[in-house]
Amino acid sequence: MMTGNILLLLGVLQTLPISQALYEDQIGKFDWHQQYVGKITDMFWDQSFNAGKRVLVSSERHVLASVHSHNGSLAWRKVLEDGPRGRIDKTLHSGNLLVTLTGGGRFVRKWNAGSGLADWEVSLPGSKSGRADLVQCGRDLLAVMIQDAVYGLDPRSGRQKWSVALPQSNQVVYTHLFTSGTNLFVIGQSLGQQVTRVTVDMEGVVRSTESVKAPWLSESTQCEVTNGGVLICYRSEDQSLQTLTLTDGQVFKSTSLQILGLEPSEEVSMETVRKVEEPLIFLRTAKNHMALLELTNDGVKLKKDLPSICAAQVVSLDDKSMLFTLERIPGELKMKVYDLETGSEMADLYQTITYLPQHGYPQRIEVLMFKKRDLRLGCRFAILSEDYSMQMVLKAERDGSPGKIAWRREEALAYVLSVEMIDLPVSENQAKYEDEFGSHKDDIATMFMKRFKTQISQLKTYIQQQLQKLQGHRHHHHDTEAMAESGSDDDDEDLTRDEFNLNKLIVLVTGAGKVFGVRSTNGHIEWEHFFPELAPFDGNNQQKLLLFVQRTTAHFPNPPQCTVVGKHKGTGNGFLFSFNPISGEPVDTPPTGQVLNYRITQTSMLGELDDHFLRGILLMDPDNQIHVFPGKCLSVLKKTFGSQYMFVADRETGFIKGYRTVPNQGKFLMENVWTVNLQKKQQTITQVVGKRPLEQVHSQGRVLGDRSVLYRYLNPNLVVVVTEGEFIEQSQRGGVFNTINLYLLDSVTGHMVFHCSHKRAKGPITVVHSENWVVYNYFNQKSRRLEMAVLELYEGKEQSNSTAFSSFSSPRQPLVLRQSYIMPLFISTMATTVTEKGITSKQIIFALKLGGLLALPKALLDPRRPLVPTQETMEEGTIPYIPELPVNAEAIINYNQSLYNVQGIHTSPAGLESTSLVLSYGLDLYFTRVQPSKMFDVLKEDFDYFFISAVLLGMFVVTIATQKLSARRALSRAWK
Amino acid sequence: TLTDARNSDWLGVTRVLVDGGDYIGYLRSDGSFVVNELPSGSYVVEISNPNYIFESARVDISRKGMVRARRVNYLQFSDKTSMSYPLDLKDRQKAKYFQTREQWRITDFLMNPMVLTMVLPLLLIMVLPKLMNAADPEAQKEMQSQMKAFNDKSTVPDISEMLASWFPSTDTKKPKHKAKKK
Repeated sequence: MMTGNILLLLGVLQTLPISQALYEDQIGKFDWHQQYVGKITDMFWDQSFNAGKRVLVSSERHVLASVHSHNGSLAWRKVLEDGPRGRIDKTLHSGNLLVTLTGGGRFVRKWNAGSGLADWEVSLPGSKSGRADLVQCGRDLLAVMIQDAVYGLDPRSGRQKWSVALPQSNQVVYTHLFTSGTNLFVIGQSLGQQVTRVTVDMEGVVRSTESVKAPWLSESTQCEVTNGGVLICYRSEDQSLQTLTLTDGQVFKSTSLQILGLEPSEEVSMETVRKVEEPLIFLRTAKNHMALLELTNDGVKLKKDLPSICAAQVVSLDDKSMLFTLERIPGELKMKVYDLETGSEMADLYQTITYLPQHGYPQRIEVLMFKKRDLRLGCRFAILSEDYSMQMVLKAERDGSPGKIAWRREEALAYVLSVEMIDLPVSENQAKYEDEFGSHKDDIATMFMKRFKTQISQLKTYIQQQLQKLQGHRHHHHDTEAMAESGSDDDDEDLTRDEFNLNKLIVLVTGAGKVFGVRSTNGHIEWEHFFPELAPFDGNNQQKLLLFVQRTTAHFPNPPQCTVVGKHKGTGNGFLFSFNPISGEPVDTPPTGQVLNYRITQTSMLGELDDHFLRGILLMDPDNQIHVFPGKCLSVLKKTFGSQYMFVADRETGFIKGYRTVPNQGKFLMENVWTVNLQKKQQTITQVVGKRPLEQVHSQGRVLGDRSVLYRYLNPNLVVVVTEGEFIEQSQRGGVFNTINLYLLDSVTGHMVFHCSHKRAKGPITVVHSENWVVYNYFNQKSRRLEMAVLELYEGKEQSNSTAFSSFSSPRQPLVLRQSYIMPLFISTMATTVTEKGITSKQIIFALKLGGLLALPKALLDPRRPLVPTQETMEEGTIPYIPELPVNAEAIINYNQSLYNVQGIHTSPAGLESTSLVLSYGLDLYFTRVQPSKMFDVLKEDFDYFFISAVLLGMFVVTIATQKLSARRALSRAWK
Repeated sequence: TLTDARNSDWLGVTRVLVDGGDYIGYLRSDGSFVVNELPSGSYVVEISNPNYIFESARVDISRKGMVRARRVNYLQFSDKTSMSYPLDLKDRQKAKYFQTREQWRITDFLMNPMVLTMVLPLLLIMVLPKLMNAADPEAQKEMQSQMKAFNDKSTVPDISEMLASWFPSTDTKKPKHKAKKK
């Protein structure tokens, strides 16, 4: 009996399509991978390993990386922990040394700048205030400051040489560490009182502790220490600079900005100059106004005012200090170089650089100076811009010609928040056909002429194509070579739909305020827009920028239209930008985006299209009034307001409120119709997941083993709400445990369809909600493992309404089946595949923390998997229950292209029913296709035409031959 | 605490993830790693490498700072198969991400069991009588008479029929074979 069972099980497993793996020669054929590091905070020219060839960068996203300076690719990249433990407080690079201080002063690590491997790691107690600093003192000492102590480390081994406790560390916040001569200075601040200066010598002995009165110190005061040992603080209250010489200064000297002749503004910041010995500092008063200040014993002196300069740096080479400045003029950047001593401009280094306006203002420039063989000065420099991009400029070959951007890294793509894949428009010929069916006024003759013309032109293009094919093999080859050389030149074929509508234009909206249109074929950027004022909505550490597709490409000749909905950075009001996703041109809104005069609390789309097939967006403001965007869709709302419902889940209060639309004096208001209280005291709402709007579900039910049908509960208004909380265990052991609650709500009526709770389970939770099922994961604290749970909802054996679903006449309580499984690997997020008509079976794609994208068939996460397989379940095709989900390497769809910190996976249908397009975003972008039920609608690309025709031909020949033979045999038999 | 694999550039792309990356260990040039400052608890240590699959380990750290390592068993948490500590994690196998393309080779075709079961009897029928013929004239006669009897009943399969049945059957066999491999 037992062996019988096992055999049966094996049989079932074998027939199940566990995975569809790639073939090795398909690498890179329809997938691409882009690696990013995030917004760059620190940048150094690599000095250790073939100097000047690489740039070392550290980023806001906890990444340390080395970038090749000739093409911008990554030499190596270290992704540190996502949480506070991985935050990079300070990066230090000089000579051979690359040291980072991370996690609020908890870890000091020395890296090998050439290979990215760790040399040593030291863990320190860490700083309570989160402020920590690191400096190098000579060759033999690294000093690390954390809140209550300073440590001296040996840079070669990481051995701790000495440590010294800082005085009054519970009252003073120590912020800066500085070395000058043979002393270390630690600067501490006490708000509203004083600045403390502790002097420590190289042997770790406290020489002196002094405090200087500074009653003006406040939260908003910014302080920096410059070379030469001067502390400079900027007070925004009275726009003055306070300076203190660290070695002997006793009082702060105050200088107001007006005296210096500078225009004070809201956003003043300071940038230290590290590469020269003199006490210099840059003061930035606006995005395009800087000033170079010199700090002397008497206070601050204006060394050079730099109006309309947006980035500057001081570099020294052979005892000569030079000031590099960048000015943005339309379409270009002007770089001027000044000799610091004389103040005269160095004309031979002047150059202009072509610069696209979509990058905003340059914010930082990092210059590498070198002497060429003919002793002339050469330089190359990297520019960091407002839109998080990094660009590398190599000096122009000929004088006078504009400098070329050698490469650029769009680091904004590491902050993708919303994705849509848009169909490409049909080709011109196709469009003419559509045109014919679009107009109804023409008489027969003109229609005939039209048809005739289009067919002639079709014939023409066909002949042209054939001719090109005949001529073109070599030509094409040449093209690809040129492409490979220039890297990412965008002059590939124009954007038209392919035969199976597999290629799309991917619209990416990023948290940096940048919107990209990216080709799905190769990942090249087609267009980009930058909105410095666009900010995401954020609540509970979740950032959101909404992207709506108002009109798809299907409604020729109306152009497609998408809209980004976000928030204005300064005021918090709504911010809209509408555009044509194919060309990137703005529609309905100005090119810089439209700022609304109200905040947005909820958005939704209208249920019906207007006369031009445009779907309007409903925006709800805090006064529950409804606004329609664009305004011309208001007429649609007037007709259909009776069926417009919305709900708002408030994390702060724990209430979920449902609203309906009511007309009120020509306006529309939202009226509260139901409220659900989820008890904020015990739990917080962490996830609200609805279904994908306009989801295609092919089959209404599921055929069971006994040939009866179990109908699915397909409620499009169903929403999953997940809450997480803590509870205190009552048993003798006690202790606090986490708990998770899951609610299924009908968002129109507020009806609670289902509720379940998991005790001793904690998040983070990811929910996938599609068709009639919900899959979610949680961490089981009792068994210390990740578990996947699945809920499936069925109406039962009878269907209440087979044509349309209505929340108001909804069927009685649905049947809920559920099961849970063990997930043997850690995952960061998951998603389900979507196909054109929903016929293809579904796959669930998991982003593994190990770096893979694992695709498992939904059939493995089926609550009907039986514990003991019977004849009936066999017939139904369910797999017997095995607690652990199977993981094999063939199911990893991104093979060895590891993806780090995946934040989301977007899936989209292609024109082929079998195929679903997948884009995973996070620190990396990865695009590929999956075929959950294999490619059933197209012949496989490795289909062996030759073999089939050979067999056919062979059989043909054999039939003829045997016919002859048998005829002869019959003849000879007849003669016998 | 050591890891092991084959060539040297694996070091740069390998990461040590504790609890799925909540804590990360960074490899040194000799392949060793240290993860500092873990609070007490039970952790899973995994190695992430694009090309190789490594074994993983569960490390328990008690409140007193005692550390032990054991095998990961998600089904039974209490499984106490211990591992050496400091950990010495080895690669288990090369990750096989790709299917091999099926190629049509004549040897594959001939060694196919279905083909063999048909070809071998054919050979036996055709070749054996000839061998026996050469051996013994009396037996030969006997055989001939037997053969005649055979021929009269026409039990020997017709060559043409044979070929006809041969081809379509191989044709249907191919897909079956494919399905099994996947």
